Amino acid sequence: MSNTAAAMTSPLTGTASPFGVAWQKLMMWIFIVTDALLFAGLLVGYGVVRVASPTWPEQSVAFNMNYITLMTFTLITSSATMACGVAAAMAGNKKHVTLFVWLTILGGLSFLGMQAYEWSHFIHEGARLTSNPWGVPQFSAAFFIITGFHGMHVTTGVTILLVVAIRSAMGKYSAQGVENAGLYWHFVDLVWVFVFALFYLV
Amino acid sequence: MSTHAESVGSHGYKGYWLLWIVLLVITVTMIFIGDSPLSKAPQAILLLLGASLKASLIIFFYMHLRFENRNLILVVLLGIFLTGILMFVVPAFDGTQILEHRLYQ
Repeated sequence: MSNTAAAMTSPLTGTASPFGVAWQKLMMWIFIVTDALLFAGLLVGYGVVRVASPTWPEQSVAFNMNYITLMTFTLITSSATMACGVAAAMAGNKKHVTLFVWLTILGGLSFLGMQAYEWSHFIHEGARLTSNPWGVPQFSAAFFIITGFHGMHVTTGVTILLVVAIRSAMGKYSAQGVENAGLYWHFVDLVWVFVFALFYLV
Repeated sequence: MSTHAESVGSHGYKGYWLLWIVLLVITVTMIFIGDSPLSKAPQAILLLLGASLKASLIIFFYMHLRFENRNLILVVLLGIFLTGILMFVVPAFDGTQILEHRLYQ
């Protein structure tokens, strides 16, 4: 029995998985759905706080929107390179796996660097977790918590991809491992889609 | 019948870059909506629709959910449905109550 077929068989009953995937991938999907609920909770909390506040600062006053757009562009591009990396892993093209995973890491590190600059700029302007110069304390609290949580996820994703890239360079990667790392990375991009729309654009 | 790996690996990279262009076009459209003189409520609805469209494209094409077993697709869609209720329905009740409270103040 191949490794993949064995992984798709229940260790308890010996029967095939009803989901037709290895347990690692199933767990990754379940994790993604539950993590989506966590971010949904944060964004809903932000929405309620925002509606409850009589005023809310204009985003264009507090942020450089061109810069935020560049951050979004970087993350979407890294998602495209990750998808190519997964396709390369499935096709057994080791050279392309290494190339695309490193490009994705580069995108992730660029995003984190830009976010660090944005945070430092925001803090330099006087924004804190409980106060800010724009007069609505919830504004900076929501910013730090939502983008901070997302940034932590990006950091985790970059770390996972570094492990995949190093293993790939050593010839030890598995297509399933690359795919699971890819699922996580796309989720990070997916969350940013909503953060960008609800926090920066509305 | 082709396996999941064959389905994903056989399509090359062209489709992913085409989708990348589509995602960028949707993003630019959303930025224009954000800059438009529309009031906040219709703006928020349009932006949420745009974000949901982008998320669906990422889930089905970049995360390859379309190649998965039907049971897995149903489990993930159920999760997304519950997340959607949390994101759209719950704040709608709270938001309406808060706005009504403000109107009668």
